[in-house]
Formats: sequence, structure tokens, C-alpha cells
Amino acid sequence: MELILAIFIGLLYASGVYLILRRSIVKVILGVFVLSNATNLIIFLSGGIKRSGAGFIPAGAEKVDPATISDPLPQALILTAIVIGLGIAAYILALKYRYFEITETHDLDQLSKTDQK
Amino acid sequence: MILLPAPIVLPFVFIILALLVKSSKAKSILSIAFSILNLAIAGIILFQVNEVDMIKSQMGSWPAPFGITLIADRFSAFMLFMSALVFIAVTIYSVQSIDKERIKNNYFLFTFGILMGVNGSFLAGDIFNLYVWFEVMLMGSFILISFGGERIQLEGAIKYLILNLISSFFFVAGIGILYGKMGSLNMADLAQKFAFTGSFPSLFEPAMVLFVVGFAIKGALFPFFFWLPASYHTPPPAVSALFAGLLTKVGIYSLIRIYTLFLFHFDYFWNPIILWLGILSMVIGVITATSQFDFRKVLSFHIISQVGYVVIGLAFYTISGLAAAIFFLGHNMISKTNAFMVAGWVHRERKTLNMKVLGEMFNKNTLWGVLFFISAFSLAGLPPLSGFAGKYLIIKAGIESDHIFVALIALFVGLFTLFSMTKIWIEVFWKNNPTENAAENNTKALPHGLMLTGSIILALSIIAMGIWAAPIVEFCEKAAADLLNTQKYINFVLK
Amino acid sequence: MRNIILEKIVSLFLKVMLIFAIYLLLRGHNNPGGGFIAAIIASTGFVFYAIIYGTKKVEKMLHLSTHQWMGIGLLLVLISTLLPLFFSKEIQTGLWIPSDFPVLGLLSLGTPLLFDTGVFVTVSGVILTIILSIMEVLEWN
Repeated sequence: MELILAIFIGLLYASGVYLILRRSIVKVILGVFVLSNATNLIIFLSGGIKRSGAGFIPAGAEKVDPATISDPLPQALILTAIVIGLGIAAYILALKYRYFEITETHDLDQLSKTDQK
Repeated sequence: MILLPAPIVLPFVFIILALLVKSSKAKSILSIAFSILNLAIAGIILFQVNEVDMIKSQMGSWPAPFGITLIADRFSAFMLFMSALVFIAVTIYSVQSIDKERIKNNYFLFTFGILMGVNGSFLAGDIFNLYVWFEVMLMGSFILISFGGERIQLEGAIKYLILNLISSFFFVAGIGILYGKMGSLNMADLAQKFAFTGSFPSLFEPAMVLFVVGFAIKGALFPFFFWLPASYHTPPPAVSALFAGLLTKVGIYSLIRIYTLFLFHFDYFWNPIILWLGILSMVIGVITATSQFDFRKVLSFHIISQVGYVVIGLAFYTISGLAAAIFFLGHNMISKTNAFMVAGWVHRERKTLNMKVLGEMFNKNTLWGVLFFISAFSLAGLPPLSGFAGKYLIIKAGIESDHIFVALIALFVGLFTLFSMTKIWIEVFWKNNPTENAAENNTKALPHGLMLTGSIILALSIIAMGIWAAPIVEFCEKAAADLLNTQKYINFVLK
Repeated sequence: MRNIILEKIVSLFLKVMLIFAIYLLLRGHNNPGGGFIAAIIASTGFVFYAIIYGTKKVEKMLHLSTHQWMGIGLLLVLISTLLPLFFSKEIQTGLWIPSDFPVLGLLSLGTPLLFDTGVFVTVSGVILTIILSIMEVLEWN
């Protein structure tokens, strides 16, 4: 399972990098989302993939066998990363809207005038 | 108990108020009041840390390796104080410099968001927490850089956004790998595990490479600096002043933290890399700056060059080298911000920053000319300003640690910096106005009292830092000694 | 065009979503659930409502602006964070009120619940701000 997930993450990274190198801003944005999800999956993988219960200690239990519950920390980290991703997604879509309003195109080269002066 | 979280809680309170209060005037007054409070708190922390070496706070009373640690040692306290100083000046400056529309749309909410992220990063004792504060800072800066949505801002925003997001992905992937191998996120705990086991997991190196690349992008070091000069000249001047003062410095702060906790175990591998990153940033930043004709672009390229100085100070890895790096970081924050603020005034008067069409600004207002003189020649390293002490310390540390070649390069780069600054000085302030539009020169100056106040605060700090360099350097040396003594940090967090 | 069936279903859907969100909010901390998820679910209800009735109606329903809701949520978070200070504990320490109500039974009331409520209000405010402003720009009504 780990191996399949690792290969999948690799594929996601590859497609993310490919998308981010395109000239169309829509594809660049999609590339950012793909890369962000690939990174979230890396954290997910770091907790280990195993079949076990939710990361809660039952009420009143003094001791818990670590094999029976999953590691809750990577889940918390991913949740944080997803929330950050949500904020960035909202921002980047608004930016895209504004971009289209000004240039009326998806082509990123339309703005490349500030660098040469 | 409230002292250490206070620099994070305070901007948070302001953000709540900014969401609930409607009037622009109230927002402006509140923002100045809160930035003064922030400076006071940073001052108290600095004072306390100087007495007791380190203070820490465990969030939610969970003990150290499990809960989130906030820790301030001398280095963090110093950075907190300098960023509070920069922030207060930029806030006072922004009240007048930023247009009404942006202030009404909660401009200050986002600057305080950046402040919260910056303060959090300086205090974080937990690597994932550091990432979260980075992101808080980035969200604020993303919004500010595109705030208003003008055409030129959009391009800068897109470059800034994509490259900084990539650096965050690198950082977070590194955290994932490290957590998978070590099962801990507390920096002191990780450092202790490395120090005691003596054996390093196979994936340790990739994680560290990801960290260093992430921080190098954030700190605009040599091969990764392209986003900075492409974006810093686009937003309103007050925003670029804030960014120039705070953002890259956080990346460098994290690099120093990571180096002194983890990377020094692999000195033979990392030291030459860090050294060369520093040298190349220094040289390439300063050389590319000479060919620019936009006021803010010259200064942006100089950020890269100045960051290089800090990094070579780190690469010497001696007490005097690190102390010089810390001092230089502080000096660079205030000098750079002040230079950008003067650029903001020029922009306000002439609506352009192209040096070919500017001129005679010294006649327009002598005081601003003097303020630029102070910050520019502090950056170039003229006594008695802070830059002289910073450069002197770096070069002295280089010679002491047998890096004479590097010290020579640093001297040489200083010469080029002086050249660039003289160029700005002549082109913008001295030469005759090339447009020959007499009416333009005689127009009544726009109000700039508050802008001037912000700039004067920083100029006085620059002079003070140059004149009273001895006690500050002494403090920085203690901070450097604490940084080199990793075991002390570990024991303090885990005790 | 008005569609009476759709309108009735959507207003019912909103109530169901809100009740489910509150269930998830109260369930959190000791079981899967919590403020963030609850807020996502509650705001789904509002978003559907806005699609059918238009954004104006949702804004009227919320009484305050979404920005103010965000502020209130953050205020709750701040209170729950700073409350332990008055009991001379580190900030964010969980404080619990021993509660054994006659009818409801044992309830776990404390700062974590307050914190989660704050997160709930904030995240709802954020998501509604995002979606309502996008809908306004696109002139959805």
C-alpha cells in the first residue's frame, strides 16, 4: 500500500510540475492545487498506512495498545495543511478572476512587461 | 505566562477589532496604538531574556515534546524587537501613504496578519508550528501584494505567489519525511534525538535538503531569488517597505535556527554549500543591481546581496561570525525599510520611480534627502551608521576564521553597494530634473508628516545602532554563544 | 424563475444541515467531528440556499455581515484561549466545568467546546464570505 501511494504521489508531483510550467494561468493554478495535495499525501504517508481505529483513547482507559489506534498527529497536520490550502485556493481564484478582468486572456505572457525596463 | 504568547495574541486582538470596527479612522488609530504596544511587549521580552537567557511557554500546559512550545532565546528576542521597530515605523508611514480605499478595505488587518506570522515564526519551538506561522505570514503578504489589483501588481503577485507556494511545499514535504522517520516535531526533541543516537535515518538528508531549499526560496538566496526583484517593485511603497524589512529575514532566521540545531552535524557537507550560497547571493545581487534603473528594483536586488552577508556570517560558524550575522540582520531590517520608505515618498511626489526621469529631489525636501542619505550609506557601510559596524564585524569574523578570500569579496561587494547607492543619490536627488517641467517642481508638496515620522524613527535607530554598537554587539555575541550551545537549548526546552 | 418545490426543499435542507452541524460540533473532541467540519457542513446548507434564493436573502438571514461573524468567531477563540490565564495556567489549557444535569446527563462543557464553537463561527464566516462574494461578482441572482 505504501508503495502504491508513493508512486501515486510521484505521479501527482510530475503532473503538478508539468501543469505549473504551462503558459495558461488556469493550468498553473491547477498545478498548484495538485502539488499541494501531493504534499498533503506525503504527510499522510509519514504516519504509516495501517488498518486501525480512529486516533481517540476511549474514555476511562488507562493504557492503550498503540497498534489499535492510528497516529492522530499526521491527520491533524493534514487538516491544517488543507485549511491553508482552502484559503490559498480562494485567494488564487479571486486573483485569476481579476487577471481575466484586466487582460481578457488566460495567457500569462500578457503581463510580462514589468521585468524588462 | 502571558508574556511569551503576547506578540501573537496582540495582532490577533487587532484582527478581531479590525473585523468588528467599521470606521477607517478608528482602524488607523488602533493600528498605531497596537504597534506601539507590540514594541513595548517585544522590549519587555528582550529585557527578560537578557536577564534569564531563555524563556519558554507550553501551549495548553502539555509538556515539551508533545505540546507546542513557544521559546524565546536572545536571537529570537532580538529579531522580535527589530521587527517590532520596523513594524511601528511602517504602520505610522502607511496611515498617510496608503490610499483611503485600501485602508477602508482592511489594509491594516493584513499587515497585522504578517506581524502575527513573523512574531510566531520567531517564537516557534516546533517545526510544524513554524510552517503554520510561515503560512500566516504568506497569506497576509499574498493579499497585500495584490491589494488593489492594478495591472502591474498582478504580475508581481503571480510570480511571488507561485514561487512562495513551491517553497512551502518543499518545507512541508520535508516535515512529513522527518516526522515519518523521527516521530517528533519539536525542534529541541529532534535535535536531541540526532545528538544522542548518533545514527541518522536514511531519509534525514533529503528532509534537510528540502528545508534548506524552502528557506532559501523564502530568504531569496542565490539560485532561488528571482521572485523577489520581480515582485517587490509592484505593490504600494508602504507594502514593499514592510516586505523588505520582514519577510526574507524570517527565511534567514529559520535557516540559522535549522543550521545550528541539525545541519551542523553534517558540517563537511553543508558548510561549503551555505558559504557559496552566501557568496554568490552577495556578488550576483550587487552586480545585477548596478544595471537597474528603477529605484525600488535597485533596492530589491540589494536585499539579495545583504542577505548573502548574513549567510556567510552563518557559514563561518564561530561566535563572532554568528554575532555579526545577527547584528547585520537587525541593521539590514531597519536600513532597508527606511530606504524603501524614501522611495515611497519619491513615488508620491513624482508618480514614478524611474531614475532616468527623476531628479532634484533634494531641493524639493532636504529632510527626506538626509533620511535617504542615512539609510543608503548605512547599507553601503559608512561610519558611524549601523552598516559600518555590521560589515566590519562580518569581515573581521571572516579573517579570524581563516576565510580571508570571503572577507575580501565582502569588502569588494561593499564597494559596489556604495556605487549603487551613490548612483541613486545622484540620479534621484542631485542631478537636474531632466523633464525640465518647471511647474512640476513648484507644485505644493503633498502632506507627508506621518510618513516623515515613520522614517525618522528608523533613521534614528540606524544612527543609534551605529553609535551604541558595542552593547548591541555584546548582546549579539551572547546570542551567538547560545545558538552554538545546542545542548543548552535542548535542555531548556525538554527539562 | 421561481420553483416552489426547490425552494421548500432547500429551506428544509438548510435546517437539516444546521442540526447535523451542531451534532458534529458537540460530538467533537472525544469523537470524530469538531468545529471545522461542522462549519463546512453548515455553510453547504447556506450555499444551496443562496443558489436558490440569491445572496441578499442569506445576508438578511445572517443579520450581521460575514466579516462580523468572523470577528465574533475569533473573539470566542480568543476568550477560550485567554480564560486559563485567570486560573494561573498556561494559555489554551483546557478548563472543564463539572456538569451533571438532571435531564441531559453528563455534558463536557469547557474551553475546548468554546474554542470549537469559535472555529465553527469563524470558518462558516470565511466560507460564506468567499462564496457570497464570488456569487456577487458573477451576478448570480
